[in-house]
Amino acid sequence: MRHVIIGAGISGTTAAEELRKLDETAEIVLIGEEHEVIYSRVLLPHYAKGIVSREKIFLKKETWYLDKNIEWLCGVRCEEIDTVNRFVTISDGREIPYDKLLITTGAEIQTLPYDGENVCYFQTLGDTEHLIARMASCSGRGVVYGGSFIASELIDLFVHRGMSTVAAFRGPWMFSRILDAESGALVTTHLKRVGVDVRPGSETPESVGVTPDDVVAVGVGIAPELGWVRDAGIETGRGILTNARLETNVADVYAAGDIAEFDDLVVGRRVMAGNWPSAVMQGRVAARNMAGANEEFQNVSSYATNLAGLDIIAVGDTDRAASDSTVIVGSASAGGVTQLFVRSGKLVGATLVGRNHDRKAVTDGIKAGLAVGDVKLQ
Amino acid sequence: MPKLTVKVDPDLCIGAASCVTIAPETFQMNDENKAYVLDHGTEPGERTYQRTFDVTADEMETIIMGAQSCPTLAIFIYDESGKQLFPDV
Repeated sequence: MRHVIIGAGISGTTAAEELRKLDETAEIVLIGEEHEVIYSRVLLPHYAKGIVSREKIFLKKETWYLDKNIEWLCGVRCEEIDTVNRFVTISDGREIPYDKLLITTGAEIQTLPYDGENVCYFQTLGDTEHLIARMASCSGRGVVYGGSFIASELIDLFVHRGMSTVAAFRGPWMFSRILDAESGALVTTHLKRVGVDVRPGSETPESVGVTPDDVVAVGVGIAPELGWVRDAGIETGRGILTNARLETNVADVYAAGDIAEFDDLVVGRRVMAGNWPSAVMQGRVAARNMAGANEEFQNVSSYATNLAGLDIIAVGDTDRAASDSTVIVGSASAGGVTQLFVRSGKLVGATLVGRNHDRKAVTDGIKAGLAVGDVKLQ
Repeated sequence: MPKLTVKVDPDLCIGAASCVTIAPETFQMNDENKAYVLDHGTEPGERTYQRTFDVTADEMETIIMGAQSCPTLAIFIYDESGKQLFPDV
């Protein structure tokens, strides 16, 4: 049996490890674009802050791949998949045959037309090292452009380093795609209290008058690159469409991690879950199914960040457009707001700003499919 | 069977719960939204942030994966001799 995994991030690496555990003799090929050994992206903010050293962010030693008899092809990307003759073509021209194929290439960072030496993104180790270098030589401000979780990490980083920090974003408040006005007001008040210059309604980074002395850090979201997947006849939406077993419409082709748009059995619709634990768990489930199991992925996904002292958590399905209604608990003046997302009478998601203590109740409520009235919040 | 000591520093834990997602037999959240430590899904004695117990190689791998997923490095793992296994020192 020959398993080929395209994408050597945490989902693909976890899958390779699981496959080896399940089958000592299978051939396992792991194809990755980056040259580095697998590292923890959740630790990158700490590396940028100087709290964690570079060597601590690596999760495996270079010898690990050889020890596990995993053929690791690094610095190459997959160009094409032939699902009829079952092989993939990689960027150095080689054709790699497969019996089972897993796609875990994640998502690409969205860039802005605004360009310059002082512009930084924050996804890979390379991005982080560029950011560290720019911060070290910066004589101006730290300008963050974007209103979501990556932008939040960047603001937190600049504040931590004592930089004069600007938070510029398009919406009326940060996280405006998921947060209601009350939660948004709490985030804005908090940012101002810690000294951040908050600039809502900023159409571009230029609108806050950036200079070459500023570090301009951009966090405007990620999106998977799907053209080469679509060309192979694999169904896509926002990501690669899969069922709860992470199987695509093409036999023996699976997807996991940030690129997968999977049937989420907990919230009852297809979603994407771009976070580390989901990537790990999906990598495992996909691997088990590739090895012959019949396992469904089930998890209440969540994303948590600490924005300069304020905890912001999203649990379950927090797509406002996909919910029937929302219920607000708490207030900005009280220092905590929880927003509950309801669909077909059931709790399907929640955002918690400064109300960590609601987390267990909402997670359990989503898992059990409770009506909002049955969820006991403090 | 190796013996591990697993410790959560509650001052560092921000309740991201990624460890709970990955290694639910070892980590759960308490009422303060901090991860605490279980021994194979059970809580002998009182609820605690630190425990020492036997693990299989597979279990050890899962626990380390849980620790690696922590965005604040709030989880510490030691072997029987007290040597810190994670975060690598």
